[in-house]
Amino acid sequence: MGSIDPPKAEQNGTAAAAVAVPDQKPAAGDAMPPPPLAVKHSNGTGGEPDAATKRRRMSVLPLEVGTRVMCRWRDGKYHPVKVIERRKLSPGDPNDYEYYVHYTEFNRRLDEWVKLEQLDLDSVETVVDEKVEDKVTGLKMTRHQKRKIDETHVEGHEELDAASLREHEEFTKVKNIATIELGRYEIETWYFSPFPPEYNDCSKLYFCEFCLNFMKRKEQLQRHMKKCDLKHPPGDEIYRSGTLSMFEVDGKKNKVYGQNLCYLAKLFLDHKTLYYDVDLFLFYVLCECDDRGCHMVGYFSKEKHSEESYNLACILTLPPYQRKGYGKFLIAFSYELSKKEGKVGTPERPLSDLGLLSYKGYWTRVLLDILKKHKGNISIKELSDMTAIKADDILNTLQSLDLIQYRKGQHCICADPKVLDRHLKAAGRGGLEVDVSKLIWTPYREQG
Amino acid sequence: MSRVTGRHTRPKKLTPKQNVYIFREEQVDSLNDVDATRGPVETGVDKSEESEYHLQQAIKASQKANEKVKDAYIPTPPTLSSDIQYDVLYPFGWQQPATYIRSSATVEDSAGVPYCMDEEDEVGLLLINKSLPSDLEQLDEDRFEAVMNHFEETAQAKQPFAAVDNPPVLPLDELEQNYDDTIPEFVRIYAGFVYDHWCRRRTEKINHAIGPNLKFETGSENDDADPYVCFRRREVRQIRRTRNRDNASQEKLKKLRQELEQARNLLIMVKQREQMRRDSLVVDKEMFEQRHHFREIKRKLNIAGDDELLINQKKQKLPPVVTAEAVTPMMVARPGPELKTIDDIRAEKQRAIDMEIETNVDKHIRWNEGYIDKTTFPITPEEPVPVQKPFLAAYPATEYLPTPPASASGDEASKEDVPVLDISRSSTPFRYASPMDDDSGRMPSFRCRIGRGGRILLDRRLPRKSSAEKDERFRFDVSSDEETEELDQSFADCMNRRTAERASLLNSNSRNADQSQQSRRVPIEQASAAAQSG
Repeated sequence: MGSIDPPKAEQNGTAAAAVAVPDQKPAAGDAMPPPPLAVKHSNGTGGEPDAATKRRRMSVLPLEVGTRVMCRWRDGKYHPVKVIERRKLSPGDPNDYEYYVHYTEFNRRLDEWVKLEQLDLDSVETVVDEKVEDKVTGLKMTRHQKRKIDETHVEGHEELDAASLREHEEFTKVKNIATIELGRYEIETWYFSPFPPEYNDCSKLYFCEFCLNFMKRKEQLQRHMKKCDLKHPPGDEIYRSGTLSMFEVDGKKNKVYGQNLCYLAKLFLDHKTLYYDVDLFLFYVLCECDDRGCHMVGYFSKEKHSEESYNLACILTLPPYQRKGYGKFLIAFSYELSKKEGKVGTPERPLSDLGLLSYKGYWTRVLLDILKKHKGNISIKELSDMTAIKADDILNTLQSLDLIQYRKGQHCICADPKVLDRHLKAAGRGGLEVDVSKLIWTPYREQG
Repeated sequence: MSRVTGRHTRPKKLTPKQNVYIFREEQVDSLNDVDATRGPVETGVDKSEESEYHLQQAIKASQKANEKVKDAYIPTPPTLSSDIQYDVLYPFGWQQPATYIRSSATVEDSAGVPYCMDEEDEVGLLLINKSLPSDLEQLDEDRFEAVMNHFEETAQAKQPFAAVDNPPVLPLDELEQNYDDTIPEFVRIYAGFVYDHWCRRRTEKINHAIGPNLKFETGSENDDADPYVCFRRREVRQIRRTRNRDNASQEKLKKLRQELEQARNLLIMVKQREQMRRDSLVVDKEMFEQRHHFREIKRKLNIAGDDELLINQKKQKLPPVVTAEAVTPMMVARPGPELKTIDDIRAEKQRAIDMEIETNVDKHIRWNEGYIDKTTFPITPEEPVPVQKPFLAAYPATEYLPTPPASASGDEASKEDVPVLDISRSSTPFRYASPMDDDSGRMPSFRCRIGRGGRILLDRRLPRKSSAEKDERFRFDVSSDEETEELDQSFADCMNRRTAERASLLNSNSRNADQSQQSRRVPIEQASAAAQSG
């Protein structure tokens, strides 16, 4: 399994995401595992393994699903994990399993198959506490499931539905596709994606970079590339600045592309659902263009008509292009579209951890830029009108930065330039700028 | 501290429309007045994920804005450079057009033959090429795919539910029936050779499509829980918010339909009417012709008489019916106008008796004119004023509506203070021996007079408390009740009334006993009603 290679593999520098990993947490890492477990671990490996320990270690093998144990992560440190699944490696040895583990403190995207030697068997806790389990791995509902629960609550079948959710959860907690090949990159996937079951036996999927068709074998991709004459997302280009282009693809007109895109995106989005058809969505695909074609770097989808003033449903920057400002560009772009529509917008919830950070950064930067320049009073509504950011998001942002205070019976914003600058710096780079003059777009309107 | 104690109310919620003052640095003194009641900020992240270590680190880093924050970073699984021959798969040579690209081509349009060969097909193709007769050209991959694709598509068209009901694999002759002009020539030629390979592959797959297919809804129960079933058609969700609007438009549509139906009925009836009119014209014409004929014959045969048959006799409408209805429109004519009901007869008798009694009462009153019976149980009660119509007690409106007086006839109007006879009298007009019952004292009572110039005056008397009070009031003549009543009146009314009262006071002092008694006994309010000139 390529996924459990030691951290060295990450240093080849192709992916910005990987570059930052080794120097990441020299100090913070120690604080990570809960102290009691850490102690236990050091006790176990401290002395030479005597016969008793050895016997005890062997007695727990093979580990049951649900076991809690410490596991060495790619930072070289041990972290608590929970065994989600196991599979036999060689049929002969009864204990030769590898285990799919969830790092209880980390996001599910870091779940992975590990070999026995990465696990610290002295730390095994076999007591499976259902309640704790629910809290940690929890029922992570996709947007659809939330919606469904809301619906069934009305009808009164909630128990039945919770059961089916659990069943669904069982299916989806192990990644079905380990890696994909897209363009010049081989990308480890993050989450389960419901590719047709025929694909489940292959650990690697080959994507056509342009039409996003996916194939099981490299030869098939090669065959496909001879036939496929698409060089850009099959839609209308609505923005071009330098090498950057944005395409709008209508899910209704280009169903297959929309579906392919959803399958691909689900590999990297936990809370995305493929439950419903793509007809009701528009896909905004961001591309870097060169003389091979327009290579997708990310996208966001948007409901054609949102009842809850969502201006964005799902957003993804493909992993090879992450941490380069594309995400912020996509967010800014979604707000530019909202401005053109004359509407206030907000992203659909729940946000992912990465989504939250990106949005917080964007909101902070946009709002503080205005506050720095603005003279006199301002209302949240005015800020909202200027930025197309929903008033709630503005309030939350300013409050989380402690900028809104209550003095002498009224609210005020403390815009100390030094504080603002500090926050702006913390919010990070602005990402790539959206040049509104290069956006040629009319809001979607249903024909007829 | 003083600030804390000084603030009594909870901080108001900040509403979006409210103006917020922006303080600059020199105005910022301290940070200790942060609104403590503010709850934690909503992140929008799923609750179970909020506590994740890397996210918390990143958030912490962004909040500690003064520290170095380079490490605010959430690790993700790694990305590698692919070992694929990128330059082969994605060759150079694409030119971005100068204008923005507008494309309506779909993936299916652009990706060539949808069928994509796999390793089994490669082997199969080799075998097929070996088995081909020598005069036939070798089958290349593109053509092979085209043939296979034709098979797959035809099978899909002929057995659309193959994935569900597992029919046998289509035989070759059935596949060949589907050739048409869009199928290239070579497909027909090679079909026979490729079929065995296709048939074998289909059979292996229980006649499912060879290529991996997306799992769509099959309509079965377990669709919902199947994570591989994607892209369901979205049922139109009932939007609760618009229900009101829906109702309104439904009502409108109903109304429209009703109105249209009415219009249609109207037109139908008009049509019927016109048809009848036409029929009647036809009949008239025939009649005219018949009469004409009749007259000719009459003349010819010299028969006299029967001339009334030559013209239309107007039907005489029955006058008694009309007049009866005109005369007694108010009478309930249910049993027919001619027939008198027992009720009518009884009512008439009752009226006669009432009249008799009325006249007797009047007579008796006239006898006692100018006398006051001060006995305990006077035969003539104190109240009834001989000439002037006594005040009539107000009765509950459900029983007797206070009818306005019939417009006075000319001779009545000329006299002043003529009592207007009211038919709706108390059912017990006799009070000769009984003291005035308490009710009449409590009920407010009214009197209507016709004054000078046809003015109609409505006098009102309010209930009196007790007889003891009476004597007091005789002395001062202005009741306290009256004072309170004034509040209701407009100012001008008040002034008029006051002067009138004063005048009557003066008069009452100077006049003789019976007159003063009248004015004394009746603390009247004279509210001038709207003049109904007779």
